[in-house]
Amino acid sequence: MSTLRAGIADFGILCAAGDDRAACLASLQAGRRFAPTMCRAKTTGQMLPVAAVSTPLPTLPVALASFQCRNNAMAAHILAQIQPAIDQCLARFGPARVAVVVGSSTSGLDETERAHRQRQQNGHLPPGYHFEHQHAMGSLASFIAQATGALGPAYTHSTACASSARAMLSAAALLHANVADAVITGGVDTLCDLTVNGFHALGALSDAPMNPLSAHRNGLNIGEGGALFVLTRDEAPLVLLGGGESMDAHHMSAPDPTGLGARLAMERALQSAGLAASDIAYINLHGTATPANDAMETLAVRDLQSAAPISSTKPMTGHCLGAAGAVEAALCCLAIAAPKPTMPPHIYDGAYDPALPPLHVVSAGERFSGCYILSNSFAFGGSNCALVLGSEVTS
Amino acid sequence: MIAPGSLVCAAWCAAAPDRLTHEDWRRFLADPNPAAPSETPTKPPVLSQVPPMLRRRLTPLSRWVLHTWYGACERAHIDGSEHPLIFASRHGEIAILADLLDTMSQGAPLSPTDFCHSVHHTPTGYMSMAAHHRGISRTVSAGPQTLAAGLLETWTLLHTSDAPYALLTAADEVVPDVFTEADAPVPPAAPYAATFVFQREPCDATPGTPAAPRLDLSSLGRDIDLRALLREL
Repeated sequence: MSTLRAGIADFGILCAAGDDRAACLASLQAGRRFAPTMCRAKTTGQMLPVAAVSTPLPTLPVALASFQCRNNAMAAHILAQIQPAIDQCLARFGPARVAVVVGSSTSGLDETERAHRQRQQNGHLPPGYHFEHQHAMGSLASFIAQATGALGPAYTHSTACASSARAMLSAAALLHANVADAVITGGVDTLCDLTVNGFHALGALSDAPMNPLSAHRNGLNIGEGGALFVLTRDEAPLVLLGGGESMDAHHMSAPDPTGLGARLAMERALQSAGLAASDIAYINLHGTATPANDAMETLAVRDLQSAAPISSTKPMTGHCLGAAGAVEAALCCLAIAAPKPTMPPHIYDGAYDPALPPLHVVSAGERFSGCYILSNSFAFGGSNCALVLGSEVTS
Repeated sequence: MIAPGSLVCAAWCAAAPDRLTHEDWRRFLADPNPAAPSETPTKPPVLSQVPPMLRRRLTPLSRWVLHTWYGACERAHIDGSEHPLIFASRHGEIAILADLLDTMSQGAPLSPTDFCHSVHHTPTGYMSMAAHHRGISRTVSAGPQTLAAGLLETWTLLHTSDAPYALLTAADEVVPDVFTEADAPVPPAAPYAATFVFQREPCDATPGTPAAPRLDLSSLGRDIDLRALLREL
């Protein structure tokens, strides 16, 4: 058996596609693009669509007020969805055996941006600003541990857009190494000026709804949100079967155009899950709609010799950066566990780029032909991670 | 407790502005009251192992990290590109982030390169490029428990994979004062990096050489800092 297999006891989600599982499943099955919020780029003045979460977020309890930032408030919103499962684990295993291993790339950077602006104006950081509890990368894990009462190890993975996918692998390994009996894992990321203006400076943002795999694709739309999972060693209808990772050894921001690093991550993921490429029923692409990503990722899928249907769910959620791996894993779980399971549709202008290798792109309403899913996340630094998820009760 | 087990440390290498050699560190660890780090800014190491084209692009944090990574691999006589690497950093590329925030507040265009470099795990991207490393890399952060998180991640990787070695690098820069008030400084007081070559079990020691020290993670607290860790070795 895979040394990373873990049962998904429960999961919650929040993103532009919806503020809970039911809302996200409805968006997914309808193939609904996110409703864009327009954001003005600071230097060029260009208006850019972003996939913001519009749900009002909770104010943190007084005892945790120093953690108050959008990232932790989104985490609190998602935690509320899975509180019964967490409480059950705390009671059954004891708080010391419940760990928190999450991923983020921004943490509370939006709060730091506000604090920095205020300091420039009046020379002081705002009184509520707390560098360690809002900005620091460890803040998300620390907040979740304190909010839930989990006393096991608590730490944050931060490998940009592969952060939460890696966190889920790390969480599964903690279970198998018997460091914990339950792990709260996944990730959360927040829209902020730096990511919007930074990706804009790279020329990676589209000024229109993103079009992955299209001949007309011209970049991504940034999103925000997160998904949190409760993993245990128990069998469950939904399982994380394994995962693989790799580094490109190529460039800090551009992927290896041959797709080698991406393919290595997928191959290692299959190996870890004990599956062959032909066992995979659906591949959730990283699918950012940048010319370089989609070109190398489709080559990698071709070279994996997988005939599995592919789609990118980012047109529905925006690219949630450090939370993307977890959000997309949650969408895959929702899709395959639905009463009438259909694969997440690929939303674009329909003009499949003839320069890409021909692959089976998911159409609306298409049923799963098997029960195993591969989900990709690729990041700056050539840092790649692929997860294998399964629903072994669905045929 | 950090983890229910132990790690064997085949070698380590650390660097800070006042302490670049192993002898400097041995003296620092033996000294019951070591001096505070120098206030004088010190340039990060030069790194002759990295091709010049790539070396020019390295961030200061990446230089500290790579210096100790090469040093530890050399001391352990291993090829670092073949083994998982775990980067433990509380603040990541915090100096570059401060520059980007200043640039944004002035309304000036952001440098795409600086933006890419601002991600927390930048040094691992450069380790991968410099050594053609296509394997496992993890980057973890947990405030004052960051070093313990790195040790746990290393131990867990070694116990759930076939990897014979895993390399843990802990590194941080000084947090620029735009982020903190003067009365509430955040460690570290000076930049540093340290790389440890860990194994699950010791290799057969060459006769006449001391056995590699074993680090009992079940007896260490999660707040352990670098000096306390090195004193265990």
